[in-house]
Amino acid sequence: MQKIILSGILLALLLPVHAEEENPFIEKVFVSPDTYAKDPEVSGKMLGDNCDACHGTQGRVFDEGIPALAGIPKDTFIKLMMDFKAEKKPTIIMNHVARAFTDGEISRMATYFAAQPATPWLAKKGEEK
Amino acid sequence: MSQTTRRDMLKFLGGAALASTGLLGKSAFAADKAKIVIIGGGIGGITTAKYLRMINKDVKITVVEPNSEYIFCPGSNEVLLGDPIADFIRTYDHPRKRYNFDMVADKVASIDYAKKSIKTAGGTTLPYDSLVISPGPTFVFDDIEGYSQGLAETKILHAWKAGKQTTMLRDQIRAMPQGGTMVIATPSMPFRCPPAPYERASFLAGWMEKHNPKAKIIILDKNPGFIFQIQYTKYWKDNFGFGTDKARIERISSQEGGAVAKVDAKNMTVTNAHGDTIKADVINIIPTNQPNELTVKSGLKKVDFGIEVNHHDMSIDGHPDVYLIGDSADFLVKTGYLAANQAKVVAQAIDDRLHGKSPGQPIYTNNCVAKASKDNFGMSITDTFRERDGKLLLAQTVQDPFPEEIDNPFLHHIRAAVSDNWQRSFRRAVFD
Ligand SMILES: Cc1cc2nc3c(=O)[nH]c(=O)nc-3n(C[C@H](O)[C@H](O)[C@H](O)COP(=O)(O)OP(=O)(O)OC[C@H]3O[C@@H](n4cnc5c(N)ncnc54)[C@H](O)[C@@H]3O)c2cc1C
Repeated sequence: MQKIILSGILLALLLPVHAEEENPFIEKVFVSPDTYAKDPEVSGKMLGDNCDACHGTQGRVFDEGIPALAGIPKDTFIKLMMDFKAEKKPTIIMNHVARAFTDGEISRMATYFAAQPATPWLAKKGEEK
Repeated sequence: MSQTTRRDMLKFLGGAALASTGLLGKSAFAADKAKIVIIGGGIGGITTAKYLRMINKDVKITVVEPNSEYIFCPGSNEVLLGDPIADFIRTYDHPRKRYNFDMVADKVASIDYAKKSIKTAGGTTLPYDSLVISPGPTFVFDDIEGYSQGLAETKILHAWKAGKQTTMLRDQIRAMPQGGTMVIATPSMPFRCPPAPYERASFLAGWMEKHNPKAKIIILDKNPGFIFQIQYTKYWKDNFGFGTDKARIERISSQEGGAVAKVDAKNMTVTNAHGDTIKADVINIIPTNQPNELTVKSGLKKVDFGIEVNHHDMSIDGHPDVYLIGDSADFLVKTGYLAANQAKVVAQAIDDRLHGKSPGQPIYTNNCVAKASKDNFGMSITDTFRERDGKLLLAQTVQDPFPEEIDNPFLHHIRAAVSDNWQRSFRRAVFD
């Protein structure tokens, strides 16, 4: 049932929306990532690159509240993300981020970040500009 | 030496070895190296140059950008509250050296897709093997009577590209008489950063509470609804009497005649679609956003949300090796977050094609932040877009906090801090 409602919303969103007539801001849409499980694989690097805006280039910002991801052992990363995905670990953002990925994608992301050097992307302070 | 220490040590040495062989440093270009030209040194353009260089040390990259520095829009509403604009400015020296690209300080005037070259306003012609177009939007002024680009630069400011207008708008607000009125007028969707007009109104109402308590903000909205509407409405009701006759923020939706039809800069009035005229002390009109004029002029096809692209790799059908990203591309949502993630897809696609491979499967996330007050009310959106057959599919969009968590002040504070953290980390992710 829920799936039917959601795909209806999705359809509405993908049809041409004319802002004067309809509100294009839908509060919630969620399509299970398993829907895409048989599509061509998104690579670990492509998945990882999407994390950079918050976690730094290659997940290598170590001096901020949003944590670095580079060098996290693969199993640790998978456990964390699966716990976020299952809402075993409540957070303000990561539950929603994690649930959009398939288990396979989480595993490829984990391999990618485990292979990144656990050193800051920009080594020296004061070089930011 | 323990297992982990040895592993870390190897990683460290590995990193140092890479650095000394110049993976990210200079390398001599042979004359036949692929020439990549990037139009626009903004979020999309610089991210493309950086991420392409990270995976390919051979290509010759040239960024064409008329300005000598870039001022980040994300976070720039806080300049209106007194944050120094310097926090948002980045020069090109660092990325240019680190990612070894050339810059041409000029505006691109035309693109010849058949000859595979671009021409700048100053007359320079640059041939390309791959072209990446990321010039941001073009603002339209002639859909409102009495409005013009000249006015937008002097009196009826938009501050929708961070810079001089942002500080001028701040000064106009500070100079407002006690009990004055400010109008913020929105364009219809799509426009860059959908929550930013409401964030702006919310920040300024908070500022007025302290500095101009009888002043009022009227949002003239060309849209029926808006993003984070539940959250903003709640915050405005709790703090600004929203919906009462003493409200510090009033919003007139498109159904109620929110669209601005006319502006009279001399008498400082705006007239809405229903013919009602409002007198104001500060008028901030955010103009209609269109795909950049360069893209339209060069014959690219406009569809609902921007210039038509193949969402598999953001390329233009019929123009092999031309990619278009950022605010001008066909994406319902226009943010820096997405422009940067589109750039990474393009960098990968260019490198794949140079190696004779077809570009792999993309994914585009847009996990953006906004605030209702500077320090104690933050929000986030989590969007995921997937692609099939060159078309975009929205797999998820969620606006947080949900109504059931909206009364938890601790979470609001954390979200506001995460928002600040994001702004800092994002600037580093693009320019460092
Ligand atoms: C107030 C405000 C707040 C925002 N907050 C956020 C936020 O919190 N998060 C977020 O993700 N996004 C935010 N955005 C949106 C974000 O700034 C844009 O979506 C993003 O900058 C788009 O990137 P772009 O590369 O398309 O364009 P831009 O970053 O604008 O870069 C375009 C560049 O191209 C150059 N250019 C233009 N024409 C030419 C030409 N003919 N030749 C050569 N160069 C040219 C311009 O000078 C400019 O430097 C905000 C925007 C505003 C206005």
